[in-house]
Amino acid sequence: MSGMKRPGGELASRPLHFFWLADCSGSMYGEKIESLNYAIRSAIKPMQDVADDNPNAQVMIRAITFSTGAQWHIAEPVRVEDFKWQDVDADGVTSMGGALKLVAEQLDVSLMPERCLPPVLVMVTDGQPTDDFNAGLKSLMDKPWGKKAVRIAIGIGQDADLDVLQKFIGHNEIKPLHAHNAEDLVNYIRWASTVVLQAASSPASQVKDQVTSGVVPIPQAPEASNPDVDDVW
Amino acid sequence: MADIQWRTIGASVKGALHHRNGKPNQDAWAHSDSFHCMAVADGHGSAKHQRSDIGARLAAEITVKLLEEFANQPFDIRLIKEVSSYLPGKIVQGWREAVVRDHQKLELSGDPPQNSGEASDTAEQNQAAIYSLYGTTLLAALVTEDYALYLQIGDGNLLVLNDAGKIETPLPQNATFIANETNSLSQANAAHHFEQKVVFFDYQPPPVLISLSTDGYINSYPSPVEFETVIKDIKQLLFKQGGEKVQAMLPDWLDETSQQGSGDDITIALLYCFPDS
Repeated sequence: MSGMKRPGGELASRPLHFFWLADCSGSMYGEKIESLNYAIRSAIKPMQDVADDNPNAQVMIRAITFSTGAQWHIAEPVRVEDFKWQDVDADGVTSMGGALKLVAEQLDVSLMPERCLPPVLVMVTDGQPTDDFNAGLKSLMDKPWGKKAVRIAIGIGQDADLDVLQKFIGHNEIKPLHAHNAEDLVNYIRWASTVVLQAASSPASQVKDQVTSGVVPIPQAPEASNPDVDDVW
Repeated sequence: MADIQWRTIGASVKGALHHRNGKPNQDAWAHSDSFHCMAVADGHGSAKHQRSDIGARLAAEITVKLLEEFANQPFDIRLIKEVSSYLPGKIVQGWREAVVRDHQKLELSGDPPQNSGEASDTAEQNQAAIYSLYGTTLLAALVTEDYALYLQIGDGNLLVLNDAGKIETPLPQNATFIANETNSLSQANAAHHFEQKVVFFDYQPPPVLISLSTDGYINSYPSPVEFETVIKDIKQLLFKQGGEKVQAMLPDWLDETSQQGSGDDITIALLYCFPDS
């Protein structure tokens, strides 16, 4: 038309921070850790496809591993289009509380401004915490973005402490997912990487103090396999 | 005070996200032809608030009507603060009555709401669930010769540009609104969640521009400071090109902003007074 330039400077999509919290304790050794590595690797392309379909969300990925202590596996946020998964190994105990403290440090409003979309935290574990889980959870929930984060938990095998994972999720309407075998784990990781990511990428407004099951409605997770027939873990 | 000619322009566009998923624009705006007042509203969306596009339109229209009535009353200037403190309650009441009328009309026409998962055991809960269907935020401004009145419930931005070129935020910024949480006209005790301010022009000169916008606009910029640049740029464009040309361009600018920014519906309403207006 008149050639008037749009007011304002460069536009920006809204950052969406996605965190993997992966249990790399000794009990994960063997098929479990191999399945976890495979599941995350194979979910990358579908995850990128979802991000492509949601150009108004800039998905940034980080990862924490926890065993004897918790550490960043991917410390700097990586754009989903550049995301690659370096395999992790299993050894040590289960410092789940430490992992929550570590992620909580990054959920400060000074690091993650108000315009961000709710972050997504996906915890994958086969055991129970060997450190102070409650202190870690408190660190997380003390942060505004920790409270508002989409928290998904995947328990692997019979020894996964689902009660602890329920506490991590914090909403009774959303249950921990229970993977009985490699196929379940792949399905759940893919679901978290795609369906949950899609939901978090375009959330509708929620009325303050009326949020009962999280700021992002979480779609139905895939069915687990029959544990009596298919339980190999 | 010298005779100041205020003008209003504005636009509302459906967001890129809603273009992709086939949902309507859930924002709305309204302004008065007789008085210098305007309102902007952002319906919440989602199944629980599935008529929030209607709720936003009703909120903007009713608020402008009430502000017109308010501006038309010969209140003693010393009582403006006190009498304006009743406006949130009147807006909530007017909005609720309009919502109930619309709900009844749609029920009679065989268009009940789709199941939103809200169980309603009592009449009170049922009423709350109806309001929730239409849930929306609201921002409003009225300017007279003597004062400016600002109102807000929920997220969105009310910015004022003064004659020194400085942006001011007359209402407190609610830092607890993150992760798409917001206050709403549909809340119980909604009137208590309003922020409100009257600024008299004997203490400071009138602003040159007042901007009301939904959060889809500010969320399209990396930081609030960069969003303030938008308002300053618009002021310059209004000054150089005039209101008609800016009004004509607004929908295209907002479309581009949503596509490359937040993806959300975007609405802006501007009251301004320059020599060329």
